[in-house]
Amino acid sequence: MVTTDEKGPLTAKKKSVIIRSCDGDEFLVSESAAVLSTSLKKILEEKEDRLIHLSDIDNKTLAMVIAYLSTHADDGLSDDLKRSFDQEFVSGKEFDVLKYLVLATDTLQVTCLCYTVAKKMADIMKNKLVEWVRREFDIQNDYTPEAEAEIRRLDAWAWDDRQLEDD
Amino acid sequence: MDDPFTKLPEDFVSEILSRTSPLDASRLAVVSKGYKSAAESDAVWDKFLPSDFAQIVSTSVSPVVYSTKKELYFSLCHSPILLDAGKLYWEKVLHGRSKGAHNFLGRHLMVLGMDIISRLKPKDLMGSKFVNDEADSDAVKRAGILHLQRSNARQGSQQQTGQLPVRRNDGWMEIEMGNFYNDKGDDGEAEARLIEIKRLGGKSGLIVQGIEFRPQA
Repeated sequence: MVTTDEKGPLTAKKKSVIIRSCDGDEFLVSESAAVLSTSLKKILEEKEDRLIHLSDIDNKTLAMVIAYLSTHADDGLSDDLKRSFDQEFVSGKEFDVLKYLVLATDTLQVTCLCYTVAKKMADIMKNKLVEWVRREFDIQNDYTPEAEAEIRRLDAWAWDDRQLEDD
Repeated sequence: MDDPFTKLPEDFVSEILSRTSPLDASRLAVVSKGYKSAAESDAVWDKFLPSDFAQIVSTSVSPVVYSTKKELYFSLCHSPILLDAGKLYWEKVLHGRSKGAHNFLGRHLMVLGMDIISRLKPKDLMGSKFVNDEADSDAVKRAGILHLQRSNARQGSQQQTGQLPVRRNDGWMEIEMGNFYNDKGDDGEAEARLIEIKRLGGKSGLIVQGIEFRPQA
């Protein structure tokens, strides 16, 4: 494996990798962008192969993640610009889109994107009914009715359904 | 692709919940067992605690015992603690009960009405002087009006009568609540009390470091 140090940063910048989504589409990504993902970095360190196949990330999501990585790998952009890009990036995105983004973030281990998406999801989940969260996240309620009632009783102060939203 | 969202690691659910509020996190524990475990994790409650909680806990006169950060959060909310060898009295605030839940905006502070009391035995304070005048039963006469915030210039004329806070070297805003003179010996207690009298609704965002008694030079 040829490391960045031996060949110099200029060569490393020019290098690129091909990432293939589960739909079969391929994306050409600069290595400097790819290594912002801890998982991709690991793969690139372990093998010479420049083609990485991601079996659980679809086209649409992968394109978004790559746009994110490329922007953040761009040394020409100021931190302020990157921050406003982050805000733009998650604003107006459907909850479903964010869900897939979270999964991709988890698979690819992109910490800063993970925080950005978590913040956005937290903003959406604030003041939402438990039922709303179960429905949107497709989560099975695995409590018995008695157990659920007991938890609601213990944290009774947190309940004021009149204030909560279901959409 | 099936929706595999339920397979999300607990860590990520914690990431999300730590960016909501104590109220949301407590409520969303009911979603499922996995959520409960995430919602009660230290990672979440660490974010809700005041950033200097370690200092608050370490300077407490009586040991603050807790096994989880959530427990610590609520013990700080419920019971006042003495700090710094008793020099400071740190009364934490009531958190929002169900009635005021919508007011629970701050990260960790919520006051429903405000009434912070500090008491000291005069003999604890060598050389200090306190008024202990039983004839003066009308507390209002002794009370001074404090403006915790400077209002803008237009309202300036209204607040000539009250004390305004000044910034101390350590960054806290400090306001003088009054003076006491004691000529009745060592018995009894001096009481200082900070009460909201104008707007009685819920408040948030106020952090009271303490009420300090100082001998006057």
